[in-house]
Amino acid sequence: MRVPWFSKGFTRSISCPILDDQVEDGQEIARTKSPPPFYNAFEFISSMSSGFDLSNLFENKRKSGSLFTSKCSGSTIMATLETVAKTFNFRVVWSKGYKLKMEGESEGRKGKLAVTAEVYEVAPEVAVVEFSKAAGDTLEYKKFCEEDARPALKDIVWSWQGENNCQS
Amino acid sequence: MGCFMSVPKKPSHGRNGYENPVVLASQTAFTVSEVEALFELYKSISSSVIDDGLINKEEFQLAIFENKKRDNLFANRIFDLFDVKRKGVIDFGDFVRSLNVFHPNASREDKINFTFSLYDMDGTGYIERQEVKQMVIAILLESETNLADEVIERILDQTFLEVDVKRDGIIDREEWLSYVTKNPSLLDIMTLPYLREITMTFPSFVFNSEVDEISK
Repeated sequence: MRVPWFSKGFTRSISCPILDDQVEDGQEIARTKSPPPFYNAFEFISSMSSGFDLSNLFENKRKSGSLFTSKCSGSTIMATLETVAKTFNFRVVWSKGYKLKMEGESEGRKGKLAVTAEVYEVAPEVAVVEFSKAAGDTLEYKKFCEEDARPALKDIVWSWQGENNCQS
Repeated sequence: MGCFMSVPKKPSHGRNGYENPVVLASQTAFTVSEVEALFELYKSISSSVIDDGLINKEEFQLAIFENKKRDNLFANRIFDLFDVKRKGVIDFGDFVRSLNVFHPNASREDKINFTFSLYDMDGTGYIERQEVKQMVIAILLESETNLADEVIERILDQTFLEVDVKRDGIIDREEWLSYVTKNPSLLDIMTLPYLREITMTFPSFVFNSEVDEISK
């Protein structure tokens, strides 16, 4: 539910490119009644801060993030995730509220790859989406995140975990 | 503190004596080989700007941000905690003992205490609302997001509702311990699995260590 004070004097620099009202989703009604679960300041800071991430001391490549922020609504994000799943021949095993699980069709090195995605919100303008591997090979999971999911989600992604362009 | 290495033919030292790896290994979860591997890492970081055997703030930033110097609030906070003696530089002993907290085998309690100190930016022993606000603003800036002040205040309100159970407007160690215990993902930043493979990442070419490798 949008609160008037939040929109006052606030200019969005970039809005969600996918218009929220174009999204058709069976759970739309349920989702508009309640927002995604709250992602608090500490969770937000510790997930998104690259300054706190010491793994760069040891790794040359930037490690692939499994978390991103988005300016789109929770419903839009969920619908987009479901579409992406279908694009890569992943079956949506279940989708409830702001959480879904998708499973790949082909058998990988350790069985079918299964991925869960959960949407949270820090504020109505800032959603956080967390991927995690539910089953299957870790390398295949990382490859899926980096090579498949990432480019497919670029329209709704604002910034990925570990990639910051600004000085703070 | 610090004594010269007692083993001959070691790589050249800085003007300060480095602490003996055997001593450091005995104080931490690292083996002597691992401490020697950390020394290789330490050498490359500490010589990147000024070759004085110490890590200054700029060298630390370069190491964290893949050779881009960035005056980042969070990296500066970690630097300050690693700079145990408050000298403005991190020496090798500080480096090893601080990284020890990030070892997979380090105690949960140590990790929780470290995160508390991270967020308690002015070191008062309490995490104050203003400190959290500063960090939230910094994170938003990093991802080029602008939020109205009222929105940020609301984030803080809801966060404190969850964590500040005593409702006194500040978060003390007890509240933090209780909260993190229920939400262990907040400790994810406190474990570096790479520390288990450090001897493979940074092989130490010291052949004449007089200490036999005894498994810890």
